[in-house]
Amino acid sequence: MTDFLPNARDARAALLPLVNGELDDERARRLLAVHAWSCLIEPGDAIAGRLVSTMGHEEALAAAVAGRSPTAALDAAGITSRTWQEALKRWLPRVNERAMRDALDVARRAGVSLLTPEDPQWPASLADLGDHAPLLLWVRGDLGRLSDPTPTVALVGARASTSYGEHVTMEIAAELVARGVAIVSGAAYGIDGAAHRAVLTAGGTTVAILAGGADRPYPSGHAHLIDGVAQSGAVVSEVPCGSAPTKWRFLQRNRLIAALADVTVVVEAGWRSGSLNTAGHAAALGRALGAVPGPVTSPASAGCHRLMREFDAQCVTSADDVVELLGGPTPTLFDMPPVQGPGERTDDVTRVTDAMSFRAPRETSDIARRAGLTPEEVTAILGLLTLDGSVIRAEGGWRRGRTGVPVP
Amino acid sequence: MAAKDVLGRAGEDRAARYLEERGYVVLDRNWRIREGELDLVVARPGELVVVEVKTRRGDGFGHPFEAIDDRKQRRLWRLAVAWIAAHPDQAQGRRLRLDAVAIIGPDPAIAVVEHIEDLR
Amino acid sequence: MSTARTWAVALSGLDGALVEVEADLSNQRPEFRIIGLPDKALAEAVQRVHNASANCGLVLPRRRLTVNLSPASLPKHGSAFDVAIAIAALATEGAMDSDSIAQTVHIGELGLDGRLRPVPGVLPAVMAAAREGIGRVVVPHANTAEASLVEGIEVVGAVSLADVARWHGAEVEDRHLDPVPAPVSADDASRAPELAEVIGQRDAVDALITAAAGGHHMMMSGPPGAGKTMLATRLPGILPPLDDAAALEVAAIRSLAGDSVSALSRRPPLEAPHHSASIAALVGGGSRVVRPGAIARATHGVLFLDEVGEFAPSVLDALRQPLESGAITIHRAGVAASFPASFQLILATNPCPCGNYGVRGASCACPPIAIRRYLGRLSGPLLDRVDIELGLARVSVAQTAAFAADAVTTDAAAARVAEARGRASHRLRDTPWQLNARVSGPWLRDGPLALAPVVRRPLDAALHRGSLTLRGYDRVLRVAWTLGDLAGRASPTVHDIGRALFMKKGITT
Repeated sequence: MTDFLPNARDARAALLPLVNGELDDERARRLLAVHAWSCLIEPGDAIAGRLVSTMGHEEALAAAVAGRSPTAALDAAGITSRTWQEALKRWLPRVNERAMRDALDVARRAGVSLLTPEDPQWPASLADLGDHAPLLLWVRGDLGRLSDPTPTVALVGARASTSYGEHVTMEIAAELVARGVAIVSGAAYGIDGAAHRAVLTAGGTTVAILAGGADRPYPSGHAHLIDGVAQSGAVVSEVPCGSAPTKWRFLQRNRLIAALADVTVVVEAGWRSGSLNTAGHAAALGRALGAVPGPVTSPASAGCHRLMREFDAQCVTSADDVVELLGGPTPTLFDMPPVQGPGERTDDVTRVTDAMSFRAPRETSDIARRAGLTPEEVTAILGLLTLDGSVIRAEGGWRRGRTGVPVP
Repeated sequence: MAAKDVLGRAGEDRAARYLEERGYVVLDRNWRIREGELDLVVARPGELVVVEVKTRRGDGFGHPFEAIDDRKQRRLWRLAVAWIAAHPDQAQGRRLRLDAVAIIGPDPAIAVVEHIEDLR
Repeated sequence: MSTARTWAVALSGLDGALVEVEADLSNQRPEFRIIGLPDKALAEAVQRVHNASANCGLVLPRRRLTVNLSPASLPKHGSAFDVAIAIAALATEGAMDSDSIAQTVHIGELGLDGRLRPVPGVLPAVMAAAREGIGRVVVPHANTAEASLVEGIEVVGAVSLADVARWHGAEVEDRHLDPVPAPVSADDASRAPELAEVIGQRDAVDALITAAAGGHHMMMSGPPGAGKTMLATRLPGILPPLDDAAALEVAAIRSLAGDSVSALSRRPPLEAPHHSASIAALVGGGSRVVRPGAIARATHGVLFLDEVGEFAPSVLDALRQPLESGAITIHRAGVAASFPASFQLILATNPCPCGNYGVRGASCACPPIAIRRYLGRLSGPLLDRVDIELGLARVSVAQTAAFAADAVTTDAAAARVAEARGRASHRLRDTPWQLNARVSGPWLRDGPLALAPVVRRPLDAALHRGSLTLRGYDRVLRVAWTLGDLAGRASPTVHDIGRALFMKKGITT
């Protein structure tokens, strides 16, 4: 235990409202060390990441704060002595016991919880960030949201969006919600805000990753929106509560957006937009990347076109295209328990649509035979699919339609 | 002057007797002027009654009172007023009333007598 | 000179009010006057009473008779007051037991020959008398069985006016006349048509069963020969039998319509007016006595409108009030009569003017605009009331053989319907509704049995997107509940919602 950490009892008292599960002295000490590290480093600090995974949080912290050079660990972590010195120069000025304690208080008052990699709700997808992974996350809202297996799509774009961009964002977001997809974004003005708003209106789930503390809605104009996100989804940050967003932190939280999503879609972006950065992270992580085209005369879409040309982003024109990027069948809201008969049914909806043609209408008995389902099950699925125009009744039976077309 | 048949006369006799039995005094019988004829005019203290008498053998052609329609009734009133004008002192102090008496049966002397007081 | 009193009943729609018939004999020139707002037919009673009495050997007093029908402000129609007027008039001379006639309601028309003639509406009139605590009623002989359907009142069927007078103590000869017979009516078929005769239309039979279970209005579209009429006529057979109150109401309406009623039928009625029918035929009318039309006669049963697009718009408009309020009001010469009109509506239409649109193996000769115009005649508000839409195709002979084993019998279907309805009425026991089709939208959406968001999600999303209207949303919920009831589920699943959507989208694209 180093000087600036409070004693065990105070530690427990400060941490208890912020965590789930048993909190013994050992865990308390560990959590404090993790929190201390997050106060010392800027997000994405790989040196800290490597050291901590080699030495453990507390030992690494003790060594750093004392200014020691734990050569064995440094060697094992592949950190040169020069790198180490530079790192210490970055970190030591930020040692501030008072500030660290205050941050815990702020978190408690704002109802923000602490998530660390040892928690079951820690999102496994962040492991792809390797040494650059966050040491902890502050979460306001549904703690289990991040580890939910629901497919997640990042919808991001320029702050300076056009009404076209916002419209497309809302259409795609609402449609994805209806298919059971969760949406993650950065709560910024423009495309991000449009995405969160559309999801909330459609009654879906969305996650907002902030560059500043999870307690501080940023931008302030989105305070109400972010509160809304916290109510049904989650608001997440890796910097201590009370921290202000900085340019670096904006760039770093984009890597979280990309890492937490299965697919990143940039809806509208200028040539030099910050959302291209998110796309870059997605590409680096090997995540599917999509971009929505716009008029070639529109500067607001220039970044998207660039992504398609230079970064291999897939052309996305609809929620269908996004679902395609997600690959494999999405568990949809239309999943129904089997009407009769034993066993699991995988994606009856696909079986029905596969048994149908876009051009030639088929009768329900025919579809049922081809799909290997009972006519009752088929009519139930057809009924639900009429809601969005996926299937259309026509002379002689039913055929597939194009989605996104509202059918009165 | 139309001749009254025997039955009619016998009926009027019977009616007069019937009324006398009830305290009326016969003041006049078959009083005729150009407009028509009054069968009987009788009186009791305070009452002056003009009586239309209908005599029938039976009610095969309808009840005798059905023969007294509105027109007949109006004419009877006019005749009554004419009688009073002609006999002012006998009308003095008496209220005027119109009655109908029907004698129904083959022998008026013993037939059923029906009496309607104060025709309206 | 004296007075005599007896009773009669004046009907307004199905509601009857007691009318006191009071006869006063004054010593004046003979005259017979009826007062108390009689209509023309009633005023003619004088002639009928005269001749009837004379022909029965009964003597009307040869003085002034004034018969008052009170309350004077209640309009009275028709010839059913004849007997009461005659008895009251005859009783002024004291030949009958005044207590006896004062405690009896008399209903019936008098023929000039003195015999009692049957009149429409005896059943509702006797019901009203019984309700008002009258102990006995005299009716024409031909109406005896009908009047006897009412419990708690003694019924005397009389052949002639002499019988009635004698019954009240008068000394009059019995001439042993033959009673005037009841009007001949179309006989109810003894067994409902069998549902299993509908072969190869599984979707259609399911839809019919669903409609029956929830009381949903249904529309069928299909070419001639597809079986629309066949299906519609089998609906009453699978509906639950009428309970006592409903059966009495149906019989009362039939009585008012002039049908001969001798027993209570438990089968829900089926009315199928032709599309050339006038408004009066549907709504009801008649110059003096108001006769219920097809709509009222369908109450507690089924109103089937075949070729609904051919009905005059004004006629279809007449459906609006009953569909909304369950009653229909007929206005006649300043008087309004209301009848119950709570029925299940079944509409049928051809898919297009030539009937071949969508028929396999046949080609439709109609230009698209003609089809749109043809179907467009079905008014929006009317279609809005339809919860289930069904497309029917002709079934080939080959298919008939293949599907014969699958056919559902009337008994089997009726049992399913009864069970589902039982579930629904139990669930709705603390609400003003008994059938799913009648439940209000807001209660379904926000009431104690509102569905979990997970189940509603596809509908909510469609509502937000605008591809489903709020009315459509509520419709789907109602049918989904019925499907759930039929499957024995405590509440509908997403599967039921899907099938409910399928049933509404069956025709329209």
